[in-house]
Amino acid sequence: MGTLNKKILRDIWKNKAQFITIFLMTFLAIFAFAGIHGYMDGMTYSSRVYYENQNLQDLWITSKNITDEKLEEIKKLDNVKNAERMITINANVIDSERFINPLNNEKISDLVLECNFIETNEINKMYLIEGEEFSKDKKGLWLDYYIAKNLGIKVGDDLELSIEGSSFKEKVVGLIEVPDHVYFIKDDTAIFPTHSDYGFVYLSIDEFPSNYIYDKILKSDEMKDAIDNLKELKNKLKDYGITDYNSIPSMITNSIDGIDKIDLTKALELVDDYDNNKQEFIEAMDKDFNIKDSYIYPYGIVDVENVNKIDDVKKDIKDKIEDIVTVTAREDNISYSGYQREAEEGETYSGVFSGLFVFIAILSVVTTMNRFVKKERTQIGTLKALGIKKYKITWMYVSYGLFIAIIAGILGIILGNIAIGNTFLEMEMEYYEIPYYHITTIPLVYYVTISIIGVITFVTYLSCRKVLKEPAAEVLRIERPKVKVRKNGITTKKFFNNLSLSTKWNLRDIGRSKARTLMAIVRNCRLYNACSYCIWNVRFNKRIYGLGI
Amino acid sequence: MEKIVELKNVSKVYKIGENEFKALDNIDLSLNKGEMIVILGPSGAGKSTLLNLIGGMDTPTSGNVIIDGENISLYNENKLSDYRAENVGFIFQFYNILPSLTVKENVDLVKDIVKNPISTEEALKGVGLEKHIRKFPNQLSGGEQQRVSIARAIAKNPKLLLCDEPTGALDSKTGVEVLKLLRKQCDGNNGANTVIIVTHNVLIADIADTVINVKNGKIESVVKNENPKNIDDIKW
Repeated sequence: MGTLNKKILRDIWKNKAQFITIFLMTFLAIFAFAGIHGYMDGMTYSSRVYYENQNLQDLWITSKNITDEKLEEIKKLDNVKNAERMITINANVIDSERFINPLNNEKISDLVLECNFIETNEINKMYLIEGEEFSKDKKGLWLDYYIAKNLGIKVGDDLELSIEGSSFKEKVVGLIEVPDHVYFIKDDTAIFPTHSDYGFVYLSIDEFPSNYIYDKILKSDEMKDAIDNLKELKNKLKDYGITDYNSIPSMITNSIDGIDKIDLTKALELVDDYDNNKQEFIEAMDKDFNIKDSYIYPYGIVDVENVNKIDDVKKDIKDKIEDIVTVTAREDNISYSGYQREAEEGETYSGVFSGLFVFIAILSVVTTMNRFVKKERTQIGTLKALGIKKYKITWMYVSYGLFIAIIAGILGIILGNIAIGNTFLEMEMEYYEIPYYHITTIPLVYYVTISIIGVITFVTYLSCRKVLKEPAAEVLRIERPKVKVRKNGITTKKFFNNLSLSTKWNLRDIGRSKARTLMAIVRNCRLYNACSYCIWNVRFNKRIYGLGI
Repeated sequence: MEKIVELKNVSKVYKIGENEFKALDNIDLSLNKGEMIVILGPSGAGKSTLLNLIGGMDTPTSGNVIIDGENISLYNENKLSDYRAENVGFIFQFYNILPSLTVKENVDLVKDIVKNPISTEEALKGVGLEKHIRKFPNQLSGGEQQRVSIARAIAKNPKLLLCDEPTGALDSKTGVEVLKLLRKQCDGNNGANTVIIVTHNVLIADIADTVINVKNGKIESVVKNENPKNIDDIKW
């Protein structure tokens, strides 16, 4: 190690308090910036990979009903790669009180699951955590992994669900996460997902509860009229003494509209007890009845070929497909945009905190190096007198700031990512359902770190430049103190003379070191500023999110 | 005799605020190689300024400073650094050794800047500090610190050894020891080394080959001392 390098290390050690301040401020600036970006960019990068791997839809469609024909028409539109449709409906879990809410350790009185009945799963593909892969032919349900984890539901468990009074039982065959359910909240009033009383499941369309359809058909006005007419006919037949419905005179049957589609005999037999024979009764009322024709698909998802032309696709769907209610893109989706917003929120914090610490670091460098160089004035003169070149001496003094900033930078990136990045990412992922995630360090973090190191080094240089520029003889001369006596200066006022010695001393020092005084004021102001910003932000969030205050 | 230093019409003016102070006023001076020269004068006479100009630590406002045939007043900062590194050894009143380096490291410093330095061990042995090489300056007495400073200066094997009040901060006995080391340096190297001592201590003038009196920025007299005293015979 060169002799001058030994001097650098020993000087840093000797003046450790000042250099630790520079180190800490630089470290904290990079620590905050790298840490916040680590989790922010980690969130963004992880979601991007997840969305791509699981083929998140580009468009969401709501419609009165996406029929087979309409689905085919959508698929044939320009720039549409694929399209799927689904029935999405909320179901209550029967006997939900057997589950304990981990947030308050109380029994869950109302556990609601959003049921998604699908035909295929090429778009918005489920990410299987445990269990079997999805297939339309498989029975059972694929359950939201987060709610399963929180409520202790396992693959193989049975869940009994009820949709508007129509109940059905399904076995859990898989635990999943789904890309359009990353940020999944109960309704607009909720801020954060609870993963305890509201979750989602995916099922094959074949598992759609038929009772729900039968009830809907039986409760329709058309069917109610038909039942009334049928009951009236049955009473009339009874009056005529006809009890064998196989031998109803044709003059009666011919007067009934659509008689060729009705199994009148069976319908008359079941009409008084159709509630217990729903399927048979409906099939008797319509011999061509196929339950699948009764499915109403209000939701569709679309995978677009070229996302740059997404607006054209949206327009095509609205213009060319009938009964379309809305077509929305990712940005309008609450899961996608909610997650993105959260990922971007850190941008403000990273700027504020890093800026603050860089600012304090610069002030620390200016004051420390100014004092340090003043203290080293004779040594600088001696080195010059020995014949050491100016650039070598400059490099030596600049390296105090440079080495400290480099070490602070490296440690800031590493520890920022570990301490802030990982911790915050883990916290975020308790709310957001992404199966694989990790912190990410984007090039910007390195650029900012290099810039901060550059700024600290440059400020170090500026602080030493004046002394280093002077000739050796001048540097070795004892520096004359800067004392200016002005006629109207405060030190000449009568009242000033009555002040205590320490007050006079302090005031004169303030007058002599205006820049340092200003820096101290600004530094403290910035600190109070940051503290009040944080307090305001917490209060604001609490008020907005209804978390108290 | 061969000239080592020639000053021709040299002036040095300092600006202090709006005032000008003439530290050296149009002086001419020639110094011989291999001599021990003492520059005498009261405070503010201009003797340190004279030493700084000879040592390339400052540049004259006007005139020429010629060292061993080279006009160093024409040198830029970089060339002056080289000149100081290769030709000049400085010894200061308050030693100016670096407090964060050990005795050995202080002397080692010159290794990085001089092409043919004397070995650190030899230089330290020459001043009798070979047993203190691992000590830091704050562990040494004033005399020992000045000896480190001398070792650092002579390690460069300089043509000119410039001493600004080298005994000013020392007691008489230690001062004599230091002067002996300076004489030793002057007598070494077959008389090629020149030692210039700036002092206001008139007693030191008795050991010099040449005595220059400076007053009010002018050379008042240059006196050749035909019979310099033995250093052991002086005390203050």
